[in-house]
Amino acid sequence: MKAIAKSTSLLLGGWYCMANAALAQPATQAPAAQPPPVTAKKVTEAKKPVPAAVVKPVAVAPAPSGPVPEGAAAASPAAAPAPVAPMAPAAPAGTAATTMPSPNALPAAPPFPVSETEASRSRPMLGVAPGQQFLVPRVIAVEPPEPAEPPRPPKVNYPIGLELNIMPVWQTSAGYDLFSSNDISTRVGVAADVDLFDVADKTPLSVEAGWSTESQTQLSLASQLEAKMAANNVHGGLKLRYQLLPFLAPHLHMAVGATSLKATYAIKGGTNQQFESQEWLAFGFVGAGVTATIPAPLVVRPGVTLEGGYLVSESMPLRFEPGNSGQLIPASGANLGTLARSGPYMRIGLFLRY
Amino acid sequence: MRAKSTAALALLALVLGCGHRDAGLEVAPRIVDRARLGNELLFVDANHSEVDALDVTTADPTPSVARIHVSANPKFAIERKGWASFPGSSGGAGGGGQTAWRDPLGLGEPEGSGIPAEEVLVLSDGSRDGSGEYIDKPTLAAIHVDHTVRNYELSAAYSQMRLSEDARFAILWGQQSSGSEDLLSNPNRVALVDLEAEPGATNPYERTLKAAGGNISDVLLTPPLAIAGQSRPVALFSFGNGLGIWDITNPTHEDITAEGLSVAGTFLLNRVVADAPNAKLYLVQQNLTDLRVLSFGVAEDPAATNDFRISLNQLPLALSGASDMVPYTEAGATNVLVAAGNRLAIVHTNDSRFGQVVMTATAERLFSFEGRSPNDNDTKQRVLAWGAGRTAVSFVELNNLENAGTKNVEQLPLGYTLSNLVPLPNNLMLAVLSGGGIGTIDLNSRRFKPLSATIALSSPLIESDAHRIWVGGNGSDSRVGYFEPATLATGSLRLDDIVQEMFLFETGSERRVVVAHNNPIGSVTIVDAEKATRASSRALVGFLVDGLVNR
Repeated sequence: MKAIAKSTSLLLGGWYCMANAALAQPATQAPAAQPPPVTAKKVTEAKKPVPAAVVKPVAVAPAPSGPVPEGAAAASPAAAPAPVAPMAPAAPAGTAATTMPSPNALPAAPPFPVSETEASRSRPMLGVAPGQQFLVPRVIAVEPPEPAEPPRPPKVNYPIGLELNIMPVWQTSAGYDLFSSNDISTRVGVAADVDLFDVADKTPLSVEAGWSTESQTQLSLASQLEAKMAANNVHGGLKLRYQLLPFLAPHLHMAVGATSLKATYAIKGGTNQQFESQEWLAFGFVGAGVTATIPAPLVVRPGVTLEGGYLVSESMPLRFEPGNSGQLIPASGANLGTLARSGPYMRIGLFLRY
Repeated sequence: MRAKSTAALALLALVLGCGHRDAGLEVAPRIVDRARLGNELLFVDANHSEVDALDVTTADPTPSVARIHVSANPKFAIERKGWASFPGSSGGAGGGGQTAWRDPLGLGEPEGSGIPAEEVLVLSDGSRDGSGEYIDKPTLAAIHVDHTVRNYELSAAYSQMRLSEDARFAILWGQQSSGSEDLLSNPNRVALVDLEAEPGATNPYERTLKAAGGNISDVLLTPPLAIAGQSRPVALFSFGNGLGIWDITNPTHEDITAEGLSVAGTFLLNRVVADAPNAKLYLVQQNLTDLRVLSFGVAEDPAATNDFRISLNQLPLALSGASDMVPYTEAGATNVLVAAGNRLAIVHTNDSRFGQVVMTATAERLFSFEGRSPNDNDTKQRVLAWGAGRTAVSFVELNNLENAGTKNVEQLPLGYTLSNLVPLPNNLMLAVLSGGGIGTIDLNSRRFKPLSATIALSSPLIESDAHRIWVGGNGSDSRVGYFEPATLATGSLRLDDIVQEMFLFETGSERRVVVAHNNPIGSVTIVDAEKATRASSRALVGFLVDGLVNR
């Protein structure tokens, strides 16, 4: 059925082109108003298209109207339309002549592949006495021109985003002083998000996943203690944007995640001991910000995002954990205090949306 | 635009530079001394002006400390036990640092042995502001086992301290002249602290002694002497050329200078022996052929501030180089045995007669004991003559010594160079050998049983019943070991860090050896003294910075 429908549409298309050609050159229009019958042989021939701008004059006989054999139509949809080409000056029968198409006959469209039909040769033409040989140009089936692609509307939806960001978090915990001389821990990471659906007009809700890392090292106790922390954070969250302007969208952002935090302590004086402790900490943050993009009709749209908010995290006990391998005397390490990780944050990102 | 840029830069600078780091994180602990207090090992942290108390006797010790604040710049701590002193009286096993004057009464016990004290005394220098005024006065802090502190404030910083036999009184002396804020310092200013009384206007009691000549070089507190019908200790101050005496039970009384003790303008005291019932002090001086005797009699002058008077007698030795002496009783009379090189002098105190015995071995020290000998089963007073750096000791029979001469002296070659001898129960002497090694001398059987060691050993820790004696590598080795004097059974245990100092804790039935390691954040290993294995030991690390970020 699909084949039938396709064939029908092609036929109608051919018809449409022919009608257009007839409208353009009524004096040379072939009398046949009905498309010629199509046979399997015609299909074979139709597979050999004539080079563009070449029209073979053939003898054309009036084609009887009738149903198209289904098998033929299905086998050769390309040959099915067989529109009538404008007639050219007469040429000897059976002699292929090459003529240039009329400049008025759809000059912009490429010529259809020529299809010479048996019916067009055997059937008398209108206004010609029976038995009289009348040479007429062969009817050339010209493929209908590809419909010109309509200009695309500018892309307005960029549902997928990739972001490279830095996220300074203000760490007011006294425990953080062990690892840094200031109160800022900067996470550097990547995130990806995809729009789920529009909550309201121009307000997509997206889901996000990201990873970030941070590291700090600091000497304490008159350079006798080197404390180092290294964290890897993963998070998933939701982001609600409102496309206020084509280039500006405020957003709300919330996420939860987990941090793998490792603290390392190296004792420089006396024996060069080293201790490690590692914890998994849950965290979450809520923030608001804006994203600015370049409002150009590009495939990907770059932009920047600026966000502020508050991060809530579990705290980590800072302990010396001696390696209690079987060869060492069982040992216990002191607890230095607690590293609280909560604090306000800022997040600056560069992103590409597609 | 320019204003906006400036504002943005200012904000950026504020953001990036905000916050500060606690200055306390930059200050490392500086441990200047350690001491035992009850169940705890104390670490005196000079940088933080505190004493950190680590409980080492619980079943499951944790690396956390109790912090006890003391006055600024603490410099040492001593356990409040009889005869305790700073600088300490006992040298290392290999050092042989003990001198007669350091242990002038011969009653000192090895540092760290026995049961921990119930109080620890910490002496601090205090601190001054820019104008030189004290903002934190020099203080002697008495830290009780319950962590309560009695602060005895001083007018100036002192550097040395000695306790009386009953640990009631502490004498402080030795003002610092170099590095002091003061333009002038008084080397003869002393402070007397009655540790049984609360701090007050006259406690501590400070005074400048009448200089007998020169500065104070050392201080001795005698055992209680029966002076004028009252048993009381006195303080002896050794000056360069004389001796000062102070009745510390009546500190407002004048101090007395004993005249006529110097020899060629110098006064060098080797040994003091107290005859408490008779209120006499025997002084063994260097470069003197006489034995000096100070007698405390009742004052005849009612106007005198002191209720006693001092008389000086001389007992002729006819020997030079006297270094030690032992009083003994023979036929109801008091005699004194004096060691001087390879000679022994017998002085009859009642009539000042004297005699001599020549020994085959040199001895500078005499140790008196009650015991038997291989020759007889009579338990009586005998003397062991020995000397640091000597390879033999001599046993001296006191009965009829003057007449029997060398027949009463039996030499015991050791085959090792002796560094120190420490008395043990059951008439055993712990022999500390030079260059490592340790052993016992059985005073009854007169046998020496050595145990060699490959390293120099720390001062021995002796369990109260002398079941085991513990030694360790002296700052260069990570092993601790013990031996049992009765059986000479030995054991050793390798720890995970170098031994810096060792302490013995005996609480109830539990005995633990606590080994301190050189670690800026604090590190000890607690060894079960009954079952000394690595598995039963426990290491605590980092307790000095316990709670560091929250301090």
